[in-house]
Amino acid sequence: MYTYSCPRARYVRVKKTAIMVFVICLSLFTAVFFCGCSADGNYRNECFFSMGTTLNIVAYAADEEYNSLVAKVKEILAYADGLTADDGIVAAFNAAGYGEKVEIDEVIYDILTTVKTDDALDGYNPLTYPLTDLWGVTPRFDDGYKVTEKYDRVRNEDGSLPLPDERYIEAFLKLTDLDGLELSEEDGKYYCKKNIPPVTVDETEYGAKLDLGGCMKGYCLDEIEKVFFSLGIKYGYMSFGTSSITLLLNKNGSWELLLTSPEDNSKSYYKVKLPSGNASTSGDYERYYELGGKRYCHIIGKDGYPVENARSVTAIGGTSLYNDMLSTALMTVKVDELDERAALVKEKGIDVVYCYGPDGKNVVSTIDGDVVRNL
Amino acid sequence: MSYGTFKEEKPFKKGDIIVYAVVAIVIVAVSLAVYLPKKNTEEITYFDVFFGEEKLFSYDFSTKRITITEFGKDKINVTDGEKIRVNIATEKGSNELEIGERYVKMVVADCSSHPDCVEKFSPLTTGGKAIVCLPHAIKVVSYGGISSEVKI
Repeated sequence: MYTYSCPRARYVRVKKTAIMVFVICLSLFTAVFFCGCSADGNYRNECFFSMGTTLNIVAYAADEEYNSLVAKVKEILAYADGLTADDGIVAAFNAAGYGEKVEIDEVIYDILTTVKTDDALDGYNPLTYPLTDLWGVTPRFDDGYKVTEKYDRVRNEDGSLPLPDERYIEAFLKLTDLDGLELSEEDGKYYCKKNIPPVTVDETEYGAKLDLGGCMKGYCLDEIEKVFFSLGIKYGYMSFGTSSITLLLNKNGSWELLLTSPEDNSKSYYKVKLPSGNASTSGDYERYYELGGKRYCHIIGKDGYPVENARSVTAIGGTSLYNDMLSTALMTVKVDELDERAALVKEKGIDVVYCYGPDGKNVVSTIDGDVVRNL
Repeated sequence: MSYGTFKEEKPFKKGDIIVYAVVAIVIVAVSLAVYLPKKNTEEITYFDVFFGEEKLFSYDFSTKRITITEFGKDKINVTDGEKIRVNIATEKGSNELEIGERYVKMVVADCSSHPDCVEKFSPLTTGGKAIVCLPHAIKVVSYGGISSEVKI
């Protein structure tokens, strides 16, 4: 029979203590790991006013990375807001006369080049501002509208507007000629020549006007996404207004993207599971009025009239900039031609979901798999 | 007497192993019980209300406490009840929020006859969302668990 001598007792004590400490440390490490209480951050979120709407960002990041992200976001938004400032590029173009060459930047140059050359974007036109204003669906009609232009009408009691004079529709349509935007690059600088003749109605001259509101939100989201990646922030998302979203990864699995119902904006008509990606929606419910049972929305077709095709179109999978322009373009396409256009962009890796019909209940989607359900 | 052979014997008896295993399980279980409910919840925990970029007040759902800033004190009027009502009056106009058990929503806004902030924004029940009244520059930003459901 052995009795414990000193070396044995010491050995046993040390070994037991070492193993006990190891077990406790392993337990604590496991607990901390599962709890996610690590030094890599928490979900943070912030909301910014910009371009007449709001940008919402949600990021899983540590303090330092998050603060850097916010600073960069403000820079990007400042650039976008600056375009339409009194001394901005868009303001300069809009104030320019016929035949005048206006200096733009590479961003605007690339956007306009894409718009002019990509057949899939046929229908998206950044020169429709005079028409949208004529129809009374620009932001100045949202609140405290006053008659200021010769073509303005007094609002009806129900909030609708009398229809515009057709002479103005015909005239303003001439201001939307994309071929009149002559783009050039010289010595590293970019220019746009305004080769669109002005029109005169009721002794007032009107010139072509650029409006990049339909794509700058998407541009900003793409730029902010790059910042997320450069800072190593992998989880989160950002949504601009209620129509554009960029989804990074989700710590709880996939995102469930809901598409707003055109009939009841507090509800949704479609749900799709996405691990990550970009999506943009255009619809006839975003800014509109109804007159005589007919809806007049803010998206103007090639005939100069508000469109009456799909109720809502969502593009999923491209860059945010491209999705923004594409969803608007597809709203100008007749419903029976949408399948063909959707197939064209499917080849580029972009899915399209749209709904049509008086109640928006007819739903078409090019998404394969991962569709949670049609609500 | 030889000291070499004792290293070949097992230093732990069965009882020792059981004790260590129980200790490890208890530590992990307690940690999970404390932290997992917080990790998995998608609940709103608090929200801030801004006029422009200036904060007017905050509301914490766990303490049911409203904290009004110096900037907000002459713009906010709180009515207690089963549901708390907060009226916001600025030079741009008037809005009213309803605060329930774990939600906040805009219920009144005089910016238009069909205000988007009332009719289009759902109540905030999770973190990472916002209700915005653009004409009045009011934004309500929620914080807490992030929902996997997003909407455009």
